[in-house]
This record gives sequence, C-alpha cells and structure tokens, in this order.
Amino acid sequence: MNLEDLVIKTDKLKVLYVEDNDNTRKQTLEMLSNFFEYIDIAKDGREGLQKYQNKEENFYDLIISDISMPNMSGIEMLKAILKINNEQNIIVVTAYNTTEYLQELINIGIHSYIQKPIKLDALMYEFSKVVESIEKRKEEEKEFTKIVSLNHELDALVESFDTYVIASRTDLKGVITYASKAYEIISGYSEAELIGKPHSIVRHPDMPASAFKDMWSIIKAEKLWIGEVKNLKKDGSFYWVNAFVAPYYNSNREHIGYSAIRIDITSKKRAEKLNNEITNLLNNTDQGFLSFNKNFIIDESFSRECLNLFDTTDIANKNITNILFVNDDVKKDLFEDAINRVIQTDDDMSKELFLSLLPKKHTIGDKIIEIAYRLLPNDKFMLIITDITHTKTLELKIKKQNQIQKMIVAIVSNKNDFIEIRLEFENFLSNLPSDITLLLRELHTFKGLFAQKEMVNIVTSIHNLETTLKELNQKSSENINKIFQTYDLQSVFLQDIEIVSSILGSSFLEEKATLKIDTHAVDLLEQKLQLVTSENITESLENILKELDKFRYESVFKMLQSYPSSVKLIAQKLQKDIYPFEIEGNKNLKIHSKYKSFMRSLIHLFNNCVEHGIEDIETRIVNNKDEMGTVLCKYVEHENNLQIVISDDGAGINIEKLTITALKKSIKTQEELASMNDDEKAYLIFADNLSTNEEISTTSGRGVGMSAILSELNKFDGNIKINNNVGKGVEFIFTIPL
Amino acid sequence: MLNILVVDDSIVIRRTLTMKLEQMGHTVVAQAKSGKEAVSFYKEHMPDLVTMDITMPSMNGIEALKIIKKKYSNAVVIMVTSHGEEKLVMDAISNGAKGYILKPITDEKLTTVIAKVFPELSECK
Repeated sequence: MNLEDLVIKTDKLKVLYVEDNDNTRKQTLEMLSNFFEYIDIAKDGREGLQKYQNKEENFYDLIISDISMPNMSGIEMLKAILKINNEQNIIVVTAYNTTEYLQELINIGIHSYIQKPIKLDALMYEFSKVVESIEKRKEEEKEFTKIVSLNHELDALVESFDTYVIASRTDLKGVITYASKAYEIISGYSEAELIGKPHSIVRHPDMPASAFKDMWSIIKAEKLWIGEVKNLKKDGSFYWVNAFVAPYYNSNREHIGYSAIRIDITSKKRAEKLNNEITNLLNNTDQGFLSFNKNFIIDESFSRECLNLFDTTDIANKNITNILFVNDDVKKDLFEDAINRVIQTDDDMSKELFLSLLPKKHTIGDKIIEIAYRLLPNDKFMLIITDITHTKTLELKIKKQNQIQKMIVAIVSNKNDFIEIRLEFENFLSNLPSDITLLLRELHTFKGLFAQKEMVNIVTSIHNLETTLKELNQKSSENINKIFQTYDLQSVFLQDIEIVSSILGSSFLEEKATLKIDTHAVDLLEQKLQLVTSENITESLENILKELDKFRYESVFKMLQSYPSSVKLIAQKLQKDIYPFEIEGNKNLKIHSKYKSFMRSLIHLFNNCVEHGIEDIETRIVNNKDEMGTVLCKYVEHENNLQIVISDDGAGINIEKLTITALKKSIKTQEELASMNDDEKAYLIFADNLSTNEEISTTSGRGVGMSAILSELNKFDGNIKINNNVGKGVEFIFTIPL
Repeated sequence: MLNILVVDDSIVIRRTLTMKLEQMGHTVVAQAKSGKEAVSFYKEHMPDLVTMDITMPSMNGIEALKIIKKKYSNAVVIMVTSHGEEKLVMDAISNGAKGYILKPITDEKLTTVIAKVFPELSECK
C-alpha cells in the first residue's frame, strides 16, 4: 500500500496517543498528524485510561502508547483497556528493545510495536496492518448483520407458516409427527393431543371411506394427492379443506412418512351449499327467475323453469330482449327504452314509474306469460315470469261457456221464433237468391237475427262472408255459390245447433213449429162446418178458411219483445248509455204470422238508432242533452192498420251527409236530389247500398239492413213516415194494412 | 286537501275527474281544455297538483308539462293516459311528471296515485 492510499484510509480513524515525554510527543504528533485528523493526547497511563473510559465503546480505532510512564505504566493501562474491549487496535512505542516488556505484551495479546526513534516505514507498516484489520472486522460485521436479518426473516416465515398454514406430517402409518399452530386452531386440538395420534382423529363421518382409499393408494405410490376433505373438529363441528398430501423423505432420501398442507375452504363450501339450496328452491317453483345487467345480458344463474318458458337449452349470457320479445319490435323498443331510463335516472320514484310501464303480459310461442320486474343493486334487474296459459285458457273457456249460456237462454225464451228462423235459414242456404242485392239483404237480416239469439259463431261467419261478397260485388252467381261453399255457413250453423242440442236434448229443436189452438175455437169451427149447405158453400168455406187462418195469428207484442234486450246489447258494445225500455202496446193484439219477417227485419232499424242515432256521451254533454239516450217502440191498431212507431232522441238524420253519399254512390242524380226537399231526402236511408258509415261493424254499416225493411214492407203495401228532427231525434212510423 | 288543475280535452274526463276529486275533498280550481290553457291556468292558480291528459289539440300534455316545469320546477303533475301511450308516459316522467293514471279512471287509482305523490296527506288522516 503506498502512502497516499494509506493516508486516505487512516485519515478518518480516531486515535488516542499516550506519551509522557513532551519532546517525543511533540515530534511524534507532527508525524502522526500526517496520517490522522483526530488525535486525542494523554500524558500518562492514568489519563489515557480516563480518556478511554470517558468515550463510548469502540470510539478509538487505534491507541498508540508509550510503555514506561509515571502514575500508571502503559502495560497497566493497556491491560485495563483490553478488559473493556479485547479487540482494540493497539500499537506500542518502545524506547528500547526490552524483552521483559515484550513477553508481557505478548501475554496480553499485543503484537504491534514501533521502536523509537520512529521511522516512517515502520509506521506505515503498522498502520497498514491496523487498517487491514479494521476493514476485515467491518466486513465481518456486515456479514454478521446480514445473517442476523436473514435469521429474523426465516423466523418470521416459519412463524407465519406455523400460524397460517394448516400443515402436518405423519409417519408411514399415518401417525401424526408434526402439526402446525394453524392445524391446532382449525381442528381444535392442542399439539400434545395431536402428536402420536392417527390422522383419522379428524376424519368426518360424512366423508366416504372410498375417498381415503383413493388417497392412500396414490400417496403410497409416492405421488401427490389433492382433494377436498370435510374434517371433524374436536367440538363436533366441521371444517372443509383443500388438501395437498405428498410423501416425505429424510436427508438420506428414505421415504419416512407424509406431509400435508391444506387450505381452509369452509366458507367457500358454505357459499356453494347456500347457492345450491337457493338454486334448488328456485328450480322447484313454477316461476322463471332470471337477472340481467344494464347491457341486457342474462346472468348465469336462473331458475330451470326459464328454459321451459323460452323453450331453449341455455339463456346464460344471452340478450334478454331478443329472448323475451322475439318478433315484437314495439315491446322490444318499449322494454329497452324503459330499462335504459331506469339506469339513467337517480330518482327512485321515477325508476319505479318506468318499471311499472314495462309490458306485464306477453305471449311466447303458445304460452301466455305474466312478467314482474324488480330492480336489484348495481343496475341489475330481476324478472319473475309466470306461465298463465292455463289460467287464460280457463278464462276463455268460461267466457265461451257464458256465451253458450246466453245463446241457450235467448233460444229457449222464444223457441218457436228460433225454429222458424232456422227453417228459413236452411231454406235460404239451399235456394240462394240469384239476385245479389236480395241475397245480401236476406243474409244481413239473418245475421241480425242470429245476433239477437247470441249465436256468435254464425254471426262472425256471416259477417266475414258479407265482407268478401261486397268486395267482388255484382259478379256472376256461380262465383257466389263457390264463395258460399268456402264459408260453409251450413256446418258453422250446425255446430251452434249441436251445442244447443247437447244441452237441451236432441228433440228440442227437431220439433216443427207448433200452433196452440184454443179448443173452444175448434168447437166453433165444427159448428160452422155443420151449418154449411150447398147454397152457402162458397161463402161459408171462405169464412171457415178465414177462421182457420186466424189460428196462425200471433201476438204483436211477442214479435217485438226481444228488441229492448237487443238494443241494450248493442249499446253495451258501442259503450253508449241508453235507458232501458219496454215495447208499448196492446198485449192482446194479434196479427197474421206472415208479418213476422217484416217484424224481424226491424232489428236493422234498432241497430241504426243506437249506432247512428244516439250520439256518444261526449257530444251529448256538449249539446246539453241527457247523457243517457232514449229509444222507444210502441204500436197501435188504427182503422184496420197496424202502426208501429220507433223513435230515438239522437242526432237525427244528417241530410247533408246522406245527400253526398247518395250522389257518390250514384243512387240519385244531382238533378233528382235538387228536386227533393229535406223530408224526402230522409227516405234515402232506406235505399240499397247506402251507408254513410266509414267503417263497417258487425252490427251496421253495410247499407243493406234498412233496404231490407223497405222490401219487407212493400210485400204488404205498407208505408213509412219519417219525422226527422235534426239534433233532437228521429221518429219512424210504419203503417201496415191488416 | 289539495288545489287541483284538471287538464283534458274531453269534457267527459274533465267532469269525471272533477267529480271524483271533489268527492275526495279536494278542490278543482280550474279545468283546462288544452296544453295552452293548462300553462296559463297554472300561472293564474298555482295549484298543488295538475292532472294532465297527454293527447290534446293545441299543445299536448308533454309540451305543457315541459313549459310548466321549466318555470315552476316544484310543480306536481300526474299524467292521465290510455293503453299504448307507454312511451309518451316515459317521456313525461323523464320531464318531471310524478305519476300517471291509466284510463278508465277509478277512485282507487286516483287515491293511490295521490297518496304516492303526497304521502304526507294520508298521514294526516
């Protein structure tokens, strides 16, 4: 080591220099100050020791000391110092080479000397040795600190392993030889209770023996076994672990046992069990439960019923909108819009309102479902879907049953009437009129009559047929026959008849229409027959025939009595309120049955009164009229005529509209219309094909019904008078010569 | 009890609502036939509650709602609506409507919606 290098290293060292001779000290100090920046001085052994003791341990890196000094010799001082720190670097300066000191110095372990007069070479040599030894010691110190800290880390590791890892070792027979603290805690046994015991001490009765058999066969083959194990605690409860069991070897590579570490999975198992229970519960209800996120993606857990409802094998991760509202863009749009709005708003009330607007009933395939919506945390939604097909079918059945009941009541309440209508209808079907206007008129009347009898099926069929016939209007009769065949009114009608027969008995409708004849009337007739002579034969027979014909007379009241309930029915359909009314007239008045078809055609007029006459409630209120409308019907016999008055308090006939329609449909020419006054124009409502209605309903609007009345009336030279009171109502007066 | 403005172009609905609301003890301060009337009647009467029809001539219910809410953010408006108007109702709610009644109007529906919007009212009873 050259001087420069040495000085760099010695410069930082702290030195205690002990010398009693002032001159020597002065000279030596000069030399030492080249090497050391920090030098303490003592003038004898006692002062040196004091200075040494006053400083903290290891303060001086080096002590340079004279031997023979007053008060306390160098030897004594150094002995005391080495007692305090036996590794203290010391260099002794000797005036002469005395073996007596030397031996003593060796005895106390001091090997460094410099002879007076001090030479630079010797100093450098000794200082190099000191520097080296200090460096070496520092290195050792460093190494030691490292080892200590490593030891600490290892201790901590071992401790945490012990605390957290459920570890154990057993011998080859499964007897426990080691158990970690964590093992003790989870099992509830102390170390002493575990060591020396077979590992089966923690075996839970729920674990099948086969599981352990499998484990032993693997670990005996010196392979790793991994498995989930349910273990028994000392207190009888259990814990679940995922165990890793491996063979264990000693340092000679001899297989001496097994070691195992385990991970506590009790809470995972608990969650699994809970999840299974909930899924089970959900799967065993008849409702579909599912949840989806704000992107409409269905979550993985849903109840099994969902698959039945959607008729699919999996719905997880699919888009709920596409599954729920296939082919229904309106509902799809509504659903997405509402859900997005729920997500976007922070207001709970608005969220609830948006949810309430979602579609609640829906059809998927042939299933009718009911959907309830729930908002879950984190912008998730739950659907509860119930299949209500059965309930709905039942409701439909009940509705149909009610309809049948109504039909039966309507038929039974006027049996003869029905039998006649049936005969006429069957007649009509087998001999269709070739004139299409006539055909449509009669068909329309039958529709009205069947509607009165609440026969929904045949009414619907006739209505559809009428629509088709109107479309091809004025085509050849061959075509008409074909169309009639496709609609097959006969079998539709028979279906209704069969329903009636099945309830009332087959004989009920097979009876022919009967006449009830008073026995007194027969007696009178017999008496008259006995009085017949050859002279008065013609006159008498005429009289008798007249009398016989009277057997066919029927009550006018009976012929009209079904109309009040018909009016009520139509009003309900059209959501109009009409006061209930009764037919007014002499109940004993009888007329010939030939007038019946006319009486039946009046259904069209009653329909018209309700549909076109009586305004909607709104209009009636605005016009300061009674909210409830009135329809009336009365009859009187006057001078061998029957007068029937049918009136309503509706809007009256709109002459302007009627005129325009008549012109449009070429019923009258401009000139003809110009020559007519309003009263005359009112009669246009009885013209063929005239309907001011823009829409056709099942009750009216075809422009056929009113003309049917007129054609029936003409058969008896009857006439009509119309009293039209615009805004207040209309009155139809029919006069029929008897 | 509440001061209520009834808005509907149908006289039948206006009458029905007024009758039912007054039977419940509320006061119908005015009846508006259009959105325009609704806005001006609101300013005039400052009612506690507005029942607003959606489809009306001369400014519909949603437009009227927007104008009223813009000027009077505390205005309480419930919509009177028919089937098939769900999208419009959603627009109304997004614009601050506090509830809706689906026609036909019944006492029960009215009571429920009012109780929801004014919970303090039913507590008083």
